Amino acid sequence: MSLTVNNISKKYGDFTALRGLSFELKEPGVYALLGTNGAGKSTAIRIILGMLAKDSGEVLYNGAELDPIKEKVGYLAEERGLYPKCKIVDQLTYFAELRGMKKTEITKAVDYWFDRMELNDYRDKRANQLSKGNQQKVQLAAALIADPQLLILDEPLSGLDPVNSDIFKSIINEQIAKNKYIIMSCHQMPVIEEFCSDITILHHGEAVLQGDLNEIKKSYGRVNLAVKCDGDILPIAAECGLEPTEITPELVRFKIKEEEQAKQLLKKAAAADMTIVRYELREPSLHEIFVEHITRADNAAKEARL
Amino acid sequence: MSVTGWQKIFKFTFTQQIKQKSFIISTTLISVLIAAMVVLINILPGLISSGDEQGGGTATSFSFTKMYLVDTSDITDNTYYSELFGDIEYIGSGDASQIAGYTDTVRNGTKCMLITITENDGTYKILGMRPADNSVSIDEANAAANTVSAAFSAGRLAKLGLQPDTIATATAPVTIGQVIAGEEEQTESMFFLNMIVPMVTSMILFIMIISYGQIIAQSIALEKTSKVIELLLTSTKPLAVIIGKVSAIGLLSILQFLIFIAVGGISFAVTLPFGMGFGALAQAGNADMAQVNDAINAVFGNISPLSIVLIIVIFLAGFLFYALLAGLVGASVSRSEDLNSAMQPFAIISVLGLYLAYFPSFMVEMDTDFLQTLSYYLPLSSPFALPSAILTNKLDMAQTLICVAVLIIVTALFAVFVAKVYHRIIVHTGSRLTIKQIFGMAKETSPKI
Repeated sequence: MSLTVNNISKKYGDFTALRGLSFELKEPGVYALLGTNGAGKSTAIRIILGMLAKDSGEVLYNGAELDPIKEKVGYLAEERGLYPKCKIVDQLTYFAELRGMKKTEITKAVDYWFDRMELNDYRDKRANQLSKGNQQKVQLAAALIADPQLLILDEPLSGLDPVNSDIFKSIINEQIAKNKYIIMSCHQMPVIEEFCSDITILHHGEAVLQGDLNEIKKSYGRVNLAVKCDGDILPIAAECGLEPTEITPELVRFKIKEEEQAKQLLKKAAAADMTIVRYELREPSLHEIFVEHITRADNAAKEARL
Repeated sequence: MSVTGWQKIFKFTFTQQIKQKSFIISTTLISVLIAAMVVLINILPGLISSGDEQGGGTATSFSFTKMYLVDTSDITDNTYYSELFGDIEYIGSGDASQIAGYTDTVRNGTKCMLITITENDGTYKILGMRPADNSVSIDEANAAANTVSAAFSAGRLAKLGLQPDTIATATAPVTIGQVIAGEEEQTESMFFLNMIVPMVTSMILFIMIISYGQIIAQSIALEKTSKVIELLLTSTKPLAVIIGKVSAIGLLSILQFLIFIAVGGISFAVTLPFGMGFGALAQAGNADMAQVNDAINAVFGNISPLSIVLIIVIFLAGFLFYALLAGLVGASVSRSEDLNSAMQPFAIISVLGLYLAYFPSFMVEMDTDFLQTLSYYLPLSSPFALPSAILTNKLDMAQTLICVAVLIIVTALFAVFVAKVYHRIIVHTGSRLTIKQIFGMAKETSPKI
C-alpha cells in the first residue's frame, strides 16, 4: 500500500495556496506536514481529503485516485467540531454509521473508544458540557472509530494537558504499531521528531525541504556543540575558530563547521586541565532546521524582489 | 453527484431536531393556541348567529318583555302591530299625547321599548326608544323598528287597496351592488374562493418555508461554523448532507403541520356538540353561513385525487426550492452571527413570492391578470399560488400541469446548481460570500467528492 501526492497545486484567484506539492508514503508510518501559518498545510490536507478541488496534480492510493469516503480516511481537523447540544454517545454512533459500520460493530467500537479515551463518565453528556481536551478526545475517537488505514491528524496535540497528551501519544503509537499510514501536521517539533519518519516543510505554498528526517539531520552533520566546564572555555574556543552562539550559566553553545573543531576544543580544554562537566555534539534539531529553511526561503524571496 | 448516505444524515437530523426543546415547546404552544382558536371559532359563530336571529325580527326572539307602540299616522289601527311581537306584552295607541308618558316609562324601565310612528309634511318617521339601563341593545331596538317599518310599509300599501300577494311582491327585499361591466358580482362564496383560499394555502406554505428555512440554514451554518462539516465530508458527499438535512427538516415541518391539523380537527369535533359549526349554522337557516358553507363545499367537494397529488407535489417542490435556497444561505456564512443578515435576502425573496401569489387575488377590482398568470409560472410564487388555483378551478388541467412542470424543472436545475456550489461554499472560510462569488463557484471545476 502507498499514498502518493503528485504535484498538486491550488490557486485562489491570483494567490497561490499550494504549488506543485509531491510526497509519498511508501510504507506505514507518520509523515509530517510542517509549515508556518498559511503555508498551505490545510489546503494540502483538504485536497487530499477531496474537500477542495485541485488545479493540477493527483492523489493516489495504491495507484488509484484516492476516494476518501471509500477508504474511510480518518481525519482529526485542526479546528475541532462537534454538535454542541448533542450527546457524545449519539455523535460517535452517528459518525460510525456514516462510515458504513454495522450496528454490532458500532456498539463495540463506541464502547472501546469510550474506555480507551477514559470518557465513560461523559457518554450521555452534551458536547458543550465537556472540556476542550475531552472534546478533542471525542474527535480523535470519531476519526479512529472505523479503524481507517489512512489517518490525517491536523494538530492532534494542541491545547492538551500533559495527561491527555500522553493518552494521544500512546494512541498514535498504537496506530503506528498497527501499520497505519498517518499524515500529521503539527507545530510542536518535538512531537514530529518523536513520531515522524519523513517530513515536508511548506512555506508560502511551496515545499522548501522534504525527505527522511534522520537523513536530513545526518546531512547537516553534528554541528551543535554544547560544553560546560570549570574554567573559561571561550579563549580556547577562539583558538579553535569557534564563536559561541549562546552563553548561559549552565553551558556554552557553538555552531561548528566540522567535527574536528569539536575534537580540538576537547583536547585543548583537557590540556589546560579543565574539568569537562558536559560535552555534547549533536545534529541540529528539527526546530533549528525548520527555522533555518524558512529564514532562507524568506531571504531568497526578499533578494528576488530586490 | 452521489447522495449515498443521505438517509443516515436524514435519520440523525430528524432525531436530533425532534428532541430539541424549541421544537417540543413550539409544537405544544401552537397546538394549544390552535385548539383554543378552534374552540372559539366553533362556538363564536353560534353566539353571533343567535344575535343575528334576534335582529332578524322573528316574533319570539326579542329579549324585551314589553312593547309600547304609538302610531299617529292614521295608516293602520292600534292592533295592527300586536301580532309582530308574539308573546311580548303589547300596548298600542294612536294618541300622540301618550308619547311623553311612555317615553318616561321606557327610559326609567327595563326590558321594554317604545316605537313611535309619526307623520310630518307627508313624510313618516319610525323611532325606537330603549331604556337608559341598556337592557335592550341598539341592534335589538333597530331590529324591532325595522320589523315595525316593514309592517308599516305593507299597511300603507294595503290602505291603497293592494292585495296581500301584490304587497308581498312590492315589499320583497331589494339588495344593491356594483361591479365593473362584464364581471361577476363578488358574493360571499366568491369572496371566500378569491381571498380566503389563496390566503390560507399560501400562508401555510409561507410559514413552513420561513420557519423551517431558518432551521435548515441554522443547522447547516452550525455544522459549518463548528467545523463538524469537515468530519462529515470525510464520510459522505456534500449533496448527501444537504439532501439529508432538507428532507429531515421538511418531514419534521410536515409532521408538525399534521399535528396542528389533528389538534384543530380534534378540538373541532370535541366542541361541536357545544357550539355551532358552519354547516350547522347553515342548516339552521343562517344565510351568510350557508354561503360560506357552500363555498367550502365548492372548494373541497371538487378536489380530485389528481388535484390532491398535484398540490402535494407543488408543496414538496416549493418547499424543496426554498429549503435549498436556505441551505445555500446557511452554507455561505462562516460565523453564526452573520446568519441573520444573510437570511434577509431569503426572507425578502419568499415574501415577494407570497405577495405575488396573493396580491392578484386580493386586488379583485384591478387588472391583475398578467400578475396572476406570472405568479402561476414563476417558481418563486407558484408554490404559493398554484394550490389555490387548483382548488378554485382557476386553471385548466393543461395549464396546471405546465406550471407544475416549470416548478419541478426549475427546482431540479436549482438543486444541480446548489450541488455544484455547495461543496465549495461549505468549506469556504473568511468573509461572507457574495451572490456573484457563489455564481462564480458554479463555473469552477469540482473536487471528486
